[in-house]
Amino acid sequence: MRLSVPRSVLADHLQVVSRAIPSRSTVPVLEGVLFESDGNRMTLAATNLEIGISTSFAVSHTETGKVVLPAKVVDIIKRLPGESVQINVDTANYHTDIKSGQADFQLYGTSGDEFPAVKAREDETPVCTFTIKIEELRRMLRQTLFSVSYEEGKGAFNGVFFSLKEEKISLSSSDTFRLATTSGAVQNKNGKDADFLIPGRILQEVNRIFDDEDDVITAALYGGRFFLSCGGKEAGFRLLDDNFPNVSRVIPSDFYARASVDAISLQRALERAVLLSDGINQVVRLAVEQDMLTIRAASKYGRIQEKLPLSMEGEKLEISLNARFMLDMLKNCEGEACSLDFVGHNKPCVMRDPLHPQFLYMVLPVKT
Amino acid sequence: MGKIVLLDENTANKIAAGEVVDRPASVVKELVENSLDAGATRVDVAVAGGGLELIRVVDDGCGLAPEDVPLALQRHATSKIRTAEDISRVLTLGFRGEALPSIAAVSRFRLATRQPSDLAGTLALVEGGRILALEEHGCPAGTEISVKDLFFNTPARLKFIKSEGAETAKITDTVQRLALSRPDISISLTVNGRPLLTTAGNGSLADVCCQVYGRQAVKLFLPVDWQGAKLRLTGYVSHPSLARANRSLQSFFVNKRFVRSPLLSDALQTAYQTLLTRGRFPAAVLFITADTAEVDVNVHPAKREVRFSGERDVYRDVLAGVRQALKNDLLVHKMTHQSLERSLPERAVWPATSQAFSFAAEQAALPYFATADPASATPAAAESRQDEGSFPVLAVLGRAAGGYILAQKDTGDLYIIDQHAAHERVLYELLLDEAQSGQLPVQEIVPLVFQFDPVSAQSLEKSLKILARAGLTFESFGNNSFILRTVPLFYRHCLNQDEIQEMLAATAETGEEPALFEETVKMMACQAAIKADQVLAREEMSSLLSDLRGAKQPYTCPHGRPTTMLITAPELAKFFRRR
Repeated sequence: MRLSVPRSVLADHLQVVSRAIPSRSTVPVLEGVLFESDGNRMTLAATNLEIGISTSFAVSHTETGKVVLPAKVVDIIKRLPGESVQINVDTANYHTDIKSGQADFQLYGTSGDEFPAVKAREDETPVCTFTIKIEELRRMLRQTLFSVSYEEGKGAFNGVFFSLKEEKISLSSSDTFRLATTSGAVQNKNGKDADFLIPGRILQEVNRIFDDEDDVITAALYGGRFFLSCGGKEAGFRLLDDNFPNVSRVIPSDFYARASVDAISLQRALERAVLLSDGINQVVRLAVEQDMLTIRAASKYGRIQEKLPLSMEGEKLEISLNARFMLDMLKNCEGEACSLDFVGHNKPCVMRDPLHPQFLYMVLPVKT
Repeated sequence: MGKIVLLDENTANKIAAGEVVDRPASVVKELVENSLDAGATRVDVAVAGGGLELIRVVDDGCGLAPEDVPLALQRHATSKIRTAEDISRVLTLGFRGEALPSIAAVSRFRLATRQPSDLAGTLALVEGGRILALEEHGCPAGTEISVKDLFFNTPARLKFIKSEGAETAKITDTVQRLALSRPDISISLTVNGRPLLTTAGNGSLADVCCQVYGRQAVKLFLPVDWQGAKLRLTGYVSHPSLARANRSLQSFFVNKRFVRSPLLSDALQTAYQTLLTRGRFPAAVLFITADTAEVDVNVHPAKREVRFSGERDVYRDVLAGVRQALKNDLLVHKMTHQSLERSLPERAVWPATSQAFSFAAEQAALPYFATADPASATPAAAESRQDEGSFPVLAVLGRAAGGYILAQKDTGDLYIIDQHAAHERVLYELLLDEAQSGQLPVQEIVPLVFQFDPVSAQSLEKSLKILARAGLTFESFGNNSFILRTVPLFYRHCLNQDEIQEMLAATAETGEEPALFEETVKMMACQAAIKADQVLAREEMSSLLSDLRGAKQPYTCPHGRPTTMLITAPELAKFFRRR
């Protein structure tokens, strides 16, 4: 394999795939980047078996072939002195010459044959496939990723639950103490519905792989993997094999009281209240009256009381909630107001962002 | 002709011997107890061949009058009681009048005795129960009994005697316990001509303990002195670091009589709850002094068992007394100069001088019971001990890999604290406090459904109320499945199926409600506690240490593992040869 590419193009693409390189693996070949050329396009790929990322770009005047180069290649290319990079692979022993300007590296590569498939196989039929606008996908992830449990071994609570129904996809997540759910419009390409669960940790990479220029993303579910692709970039995500609780059954539908409060004021007030928090105890007591929300918090350090104006329909009530959980939502609330729906004393509280009516966040109460 | 005949004296004695004299150690016990009852100030025991060849007990007690000697060799002949009513008041160790004839029935027996006021003593020779000689004899005041060829005429019994070593160990054990029971009497034991034990008889229990347990062990003894409503509890219990896998280091004495009592053992063990890991037993030498009317010793021919009229009160007093003793002392695991050196891999680096040095250090530490003598402990001294007992204020120095916080007291003492164990202790007490006061805040969770096997489901069903008190609200969902609705607020961890199963299994053994509750709380504290590999900021470490200082029992985790190790400044200095 022999090729010549502009250094900046190669560096940018390597930066994308490098997100998937495991720092240490029991499978040595994974600790590298796959370079593969079919004569017209160069494909780079890396995977830690949880997430696989590949990216391709057009090249000219190249020989076909593939090689796995050590992960150090990412930093090497970034620091090369010249405008372009010449790569020459000795097919006999996979020693690879990398030349740029006056610099001349030789990297000891290995055969690419053992590298696991990162891309979806083109001959396979997807379980479901749809397209979605990048900003829609990013919004939904923003509204759900924060309530995923990032502790190891929490099963379904380590993931975001995707539910595709016709032209709509819903995303839900929970760490058992709160639950976030949202939905967005998609174009369903084969008319099939599907439910699947993806680890939140690897979904965080979506924002780093795709950017606003990518516009419309194609999504497809093949067997045990979920793929997102756009342009030459493709990311495959491992699925979690756990059962997510039935969201519609958990979220209350009848409300005792519905209130609306200024989102920023509430956020600031809660931030003040948690200043008093003692260790893991970040509980605030909310007293909701007709036109007034009273926030109280107390710990061994002292106490705070703060009143906020609010508009409410329904009966007054009191409830204890974890302020940290409420703040997580408020930081992702884009509307000026935030609505708070209550089921009753010491019952769950449902928070909504009026700007995104699809987004719903339920915080479960603390009973003292 | 009738078939029933009255057994002759000799046969009856052999049968009685089966109950009282079942092995050489019980002969030693009976003989030494007789000596103690005879008011001896010195008792010398010599044995050979595991006690089968020879047992000789010599005392300087009151001796026997010549006319009493043949009577003493008859069954139910005793000087210690006169009527059955006396049994309830008996203060002597023996009273049944069975020991001497029983022993004489199964051995070649020699008794030489003289009352101090008499000019001549008496010698009796008995073989297999037959009196061979009974004559005037010159001997020192007191009694000397030799028992040779024990069980020579009961081959069945002889067959069940264990090896010489095992029997000697039993005898040693017996003599040690008798010595512990009477620090005021000098007791010695010689085995095959080699002296094994000699107590001073100066009345100091501490000295006897040193003889029996060794000086190093005794440094870890804590004095007990408790006055209950109906009894007084004195003696020593051990620091938790001195514990064994069995109860061999425990001796209980009721009115100076050694007894085995599950009641007392239980009370002792309960006092050490959360201080010891499962299956470890502390050392203890505990004396219970109670009105003889409250204690029934006539339960077992060898009087090893004892019954109390108010068992509950006894249990409560022993528990309270031992707890008091434990509370009074700084229960930190101390790393001494000697143990540090023992742990060094290369002894070669530490030449012979280190040995001599260790010895000197030991000698220097001799007044080990200066404050420990219960009699001399004034209220003021007790108060200062109380103060010592609390966890000190420590400055964090840093953290060693594996999750150990290094900290220093203002005196320069170095403390090493296991962060997981320490946090576990803090959480355990917090949760227990809140749960017991019924103010445990719980966090409601997204309902989680668990499916169990029928056995686990049944034990869970039974425990719903207790678990709810510990903050875990389960609801039965039918068909062996349960919904978990809340977890304790501080816990912030949703149990998974395995963890619940494990908890049920751990508590199934005990089955009792308080045990289940505490076990549940321990489990949650352990899971919620920071792990050993978690890196803590200096502030976090300080805060953990100050939390630990607030704990009631800061020195062990709820499972009984130590939280803290101490290397005192002088120990460090000694180690580096600065002094």
